Amino acid sequence: MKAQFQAIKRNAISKAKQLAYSPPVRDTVRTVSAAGSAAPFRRFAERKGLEGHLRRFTSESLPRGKFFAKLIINDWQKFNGQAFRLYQGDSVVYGNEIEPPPKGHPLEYRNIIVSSPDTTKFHLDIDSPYSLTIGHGAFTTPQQVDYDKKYQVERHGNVHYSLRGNSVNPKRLLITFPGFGPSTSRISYAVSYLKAITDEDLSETLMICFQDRYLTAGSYMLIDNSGQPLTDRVNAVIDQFIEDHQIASDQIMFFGASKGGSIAIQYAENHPEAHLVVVVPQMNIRYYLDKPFFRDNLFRESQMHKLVQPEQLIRSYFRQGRRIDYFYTNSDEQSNYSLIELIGDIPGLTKYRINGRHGDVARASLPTTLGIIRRFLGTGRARSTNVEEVNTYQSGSSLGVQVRIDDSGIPRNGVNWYLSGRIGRSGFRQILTDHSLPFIKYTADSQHLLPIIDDLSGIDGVVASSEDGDQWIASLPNSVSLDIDHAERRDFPTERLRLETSGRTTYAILRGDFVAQFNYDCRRGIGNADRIDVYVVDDLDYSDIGEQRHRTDARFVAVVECSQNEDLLELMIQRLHVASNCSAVSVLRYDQVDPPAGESVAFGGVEDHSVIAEI
Amino acid sequence: MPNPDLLLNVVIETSSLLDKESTTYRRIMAARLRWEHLFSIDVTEGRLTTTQLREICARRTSKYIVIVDESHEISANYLQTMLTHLQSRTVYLAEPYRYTGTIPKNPATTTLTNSYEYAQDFDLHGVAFNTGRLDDALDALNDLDRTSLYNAYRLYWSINKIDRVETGYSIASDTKSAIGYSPDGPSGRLLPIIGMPSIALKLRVLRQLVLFLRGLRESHNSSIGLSHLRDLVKGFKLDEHLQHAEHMHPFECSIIRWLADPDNNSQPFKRLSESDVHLKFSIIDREARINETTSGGTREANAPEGVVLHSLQLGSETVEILRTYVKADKANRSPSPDTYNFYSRAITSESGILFFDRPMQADDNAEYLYDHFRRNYPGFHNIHFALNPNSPDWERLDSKGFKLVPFFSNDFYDIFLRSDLVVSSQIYNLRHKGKTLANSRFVYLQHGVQLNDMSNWVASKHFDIFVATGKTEADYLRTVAPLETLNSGIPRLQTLKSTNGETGNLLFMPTWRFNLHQVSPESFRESAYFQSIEELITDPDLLTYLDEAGATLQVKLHPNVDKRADQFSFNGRVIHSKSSYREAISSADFVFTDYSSAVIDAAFIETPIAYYQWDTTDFFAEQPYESRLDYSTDALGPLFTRLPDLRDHIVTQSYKTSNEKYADRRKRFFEGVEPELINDRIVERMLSL
Repeated sequence: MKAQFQAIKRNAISKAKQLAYSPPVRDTVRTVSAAGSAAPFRRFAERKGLEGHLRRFTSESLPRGKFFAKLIINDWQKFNGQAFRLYQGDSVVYGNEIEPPPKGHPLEYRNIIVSSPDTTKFHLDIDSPYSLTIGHGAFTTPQQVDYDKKYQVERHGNVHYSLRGNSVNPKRLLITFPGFGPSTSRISYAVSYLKAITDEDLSETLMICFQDRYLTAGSYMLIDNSGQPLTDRVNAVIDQFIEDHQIASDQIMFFGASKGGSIAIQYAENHPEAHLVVVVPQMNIRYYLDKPFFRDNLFRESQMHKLVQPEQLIRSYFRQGRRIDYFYTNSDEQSNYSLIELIGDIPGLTKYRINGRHGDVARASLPTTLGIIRRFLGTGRARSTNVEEVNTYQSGSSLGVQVRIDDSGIPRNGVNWYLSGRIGRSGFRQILTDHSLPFIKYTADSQHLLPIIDDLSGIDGVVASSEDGDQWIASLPNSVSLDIDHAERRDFPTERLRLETSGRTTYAILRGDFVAQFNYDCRRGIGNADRIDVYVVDDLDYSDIGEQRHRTDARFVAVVECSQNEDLLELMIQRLHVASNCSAVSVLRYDQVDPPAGESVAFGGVEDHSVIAEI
Repeated sequence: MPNPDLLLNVVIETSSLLDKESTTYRRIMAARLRWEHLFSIDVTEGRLTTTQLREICARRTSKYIVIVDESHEISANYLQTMLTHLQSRTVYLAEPYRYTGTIPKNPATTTLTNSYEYAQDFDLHGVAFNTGRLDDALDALNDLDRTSLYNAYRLYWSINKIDRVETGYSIASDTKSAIGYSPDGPSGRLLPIIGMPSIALKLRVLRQLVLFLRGLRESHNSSIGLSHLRDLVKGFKLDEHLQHAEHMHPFECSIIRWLADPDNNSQPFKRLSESDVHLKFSIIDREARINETTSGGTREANAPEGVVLHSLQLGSETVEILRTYVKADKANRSPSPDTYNFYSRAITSESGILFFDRPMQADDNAEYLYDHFRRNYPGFHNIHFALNPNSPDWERLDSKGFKLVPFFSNDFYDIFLRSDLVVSSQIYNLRHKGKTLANSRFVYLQHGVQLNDMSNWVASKHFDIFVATGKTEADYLRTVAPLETLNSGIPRLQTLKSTNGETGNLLFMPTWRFNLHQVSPESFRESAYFQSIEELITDPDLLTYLDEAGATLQVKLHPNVDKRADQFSFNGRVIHSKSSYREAISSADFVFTDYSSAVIDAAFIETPIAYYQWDTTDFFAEQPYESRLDYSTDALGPLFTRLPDLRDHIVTQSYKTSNEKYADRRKRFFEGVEPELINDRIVERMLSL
């Protein structure tokens, strides 16, 4: 009897929850609680400690049968640096690589989307105590709440952003998008607020700082928590501001770093005359996410990979001659996807090569990006200075450069110095290091010029770019030539990697200062096995991909010629694998270097058949 | 084992009779008021040797022992604080904050940086040692020189970290830093190579080694062997910390680099325009040398190119150090974008050039060259003269139109960095943001003429041009720096003129004495130096002559003695001269000195000079340098050692009589100097660097 009563009670509570969390009820409460007259109600909730409940209640709705989950791993120290997976039944619903949480806080992953509220159906694959909380409302932290308050981030439907500057009659629109924070951050959803840009700077500009408040740490603003495409809704927000304020099409700037850069590329699509400023954006999101921190979370969101990749968009922007300032480092092939490092002769494009790791670039180039933004906002002057001396240092296949400049009147802090020039119709800037001698700027080891990809004959000056927007420009003395041994820039192929080629195709990959070129051929297979077979051969001419398609059940078959570039072969294969969207890749090495004349060139000589990655 | 009744035995080392009125002595005695039962005081003349120290320790009359040098300075609470500290604990040693200059009011606020550690004197003064443990250590370390005992004790007992007692001890002045030191006795080692000391202790060991090598360059001989020095450097990885020693002792740092890496026997020392100065090290094979001698061969046939600076006897081995010039293409300069070559651009009219004399006093060669340069080379608009704004010369030079920059200010360093050339009558260890005189152009004009043999000092300095005055000095300098020596004469001589006609001024310019620098007024008054000068300026016959001749005796004291001027009996005819050297010399009919090279200026303009040396033997015994000049055969005026002879020379006005002997000597001395072209020759050479 008692059990019966309990079951009825549970059922009633569940029904009541379902009703309470139903979209119409939550929408009503959202509207009411957001109204100015609801302030006493909000204060009451705050006093009673119900603020969190109210916030979660009024947060984004998920479709029926979907829930937000919060995972806390208690014994994380024991597993620091290891990967873990959270299973719902047999399916992975979340995974990550364990990093230490902020001091004094638990290791917590919020807003994992699951399809059951029953915590007993979940388990971790590491032997650590954990807690799992599942509910209808999104989880947050006090730090995130304070952050949102501080930066006035507000929710508008399923889109979140803060507004700065002139919201009455702006002449310009500055639109920013955020990057990723650390996986364990208490503030999972940041905005690119650009604190250095003041209200005075924005006196004629409306700044929209979008927040990528989806999934556990953002979705590149491609899908919402339900996994539905978001682009139309964000585009509508942007279009509405443009329309409301009659912003001229060339008075719009899109800015973002890392993930934010990719988002900026996405949302600049409909604005060909806008100015696009991107810092280390990911060109192929799926390729970038194919790593421990993302493989078992964002990487698994199949819906977002169906959308067009930033690489494809920016290639079309290049063709359109859009105005693009692109900051990158050669040590970031995962983001660059071998495009920006090698491309040149693109009108409207200025390449800023910074050194360091992916995460270093935004900070290192901040004076320049702030300067570009301020010039867009209407401040900053172009001035001239002098290069008094240029010294060059050949080191292997690279060239070090040291310049002595007239630094009088130029601030010592908040300024980036560059060697400047052109690669065809593209602008090119190589960042320089400040010497302890204030008048000396030089290329550190990782800043050397690379004659095979940099057009040394096109480098003709030095530019100082300050965060105030001022620029100092100097020509190299006429007598100075950076050309060493008449080394000429080579035109490496920059076409995108294709899954269906029509014969021998060449693809180049740069890592650091090394460029590898691969001849390859790739076709759709006749089988349905979710796999790509990659044959590594010494000579593409001795391979017969047509025949090989019929000898395998894989969905794709690729042949890659590799006689020298073993170094980057793994990357080439990985790119083919990611591009194929197959779950598995087979690598088959054909070692017969010099087959006898007239012998049938099939892959009878395969010696190594190994699966190097399986997902 | 005797049980010590006393907590501390204070041993005061004195150079002669104990000065019981000295501050240090009185402060030690003051501790008796409350602590007399806890400590004893012993006074010993001269420095304790290791053997003497061991004997004292063996007696165990006190739990701790501390050695204080009478000429050193201590905080007012030094002894009280040390006793309080020692009373409540048993420690290996108790060390105050130690200094080489003034003790700050609150020593505990001293920041214990690596630079502080390196700057510490490594002798054992001021540190209280546990007598028993020192005795134990000395049982093992009895072969060491006493100067090594502080470091050796810490190494022996592995005392890496020290909590300092909050009081101060200062060795007052650090002449050891300038001239190095030589260990006493026949020990074959400097220190025991035990354990891996902390960086702080390594830096003290490094300083000891550096100053040992500095002293070795003077003595040229040590019982300590080369292999021990190598073991010391490698064992303690001393070459990894040379940045602390480099600016003061670059020569010694080069030796240490070679000790660390014997295969690399050519160590870069100074960058020049077209070549680099390297120090080249070679171990001379004694047998080969003997064979060469017996077979009549000459060593030079196989000797590497360069000037031999030193031949150092280290135990049974002889190390020869040569100064060589290595052409730029062979100098292994390893150019890199992160290193700026301060020679990379030629000196043009756009170049910055920085001139300076002393911070507080111009009126020397840099001022005269600057003045000449700005008048005759007006195209050079970016030239500066550095001076302290508080210098009495500031206003004078400002009104002349000198482009002045405050010495050691931010502007000074900024100009230094941007200058293509630095020109000075002084050598300061300038270094800022990686620029030093070792890697940039520097013209050393000198203050005067080197009458002492300072070749070891010269060899350790960085310069591109070293200005000499006359063939004799130039020949001497070329034994050390053949490419850099320029026999043009020093700039101030070009415009130095004798006042027309007799002025009735006699000028006496005595130099100073190293050993009187820190002494009390009483000790100074008792010194032979004071008494000889006082005897001269109060001599009744001389005063009578001055009265009758209507003449005056101007006494131009050395700047280091000027503060004691009140102690001298100046009077109406004997005047303490406040004029500049130039003014004093120009207006003198006769100039005499004891040893000062300043009289050379007078000789240059043919003003008669003389030397009055009342203490020849003692003077050179106390100086770090030996005289290069034989005053009896080379001096440009007569030499007197007795006052009556000097007095006669003056009162008989013999100085007015022309003397062919001194005229010939003068001609030889200034050979090669063309008075009207001094500055232009320097300018021509410096602009071609």
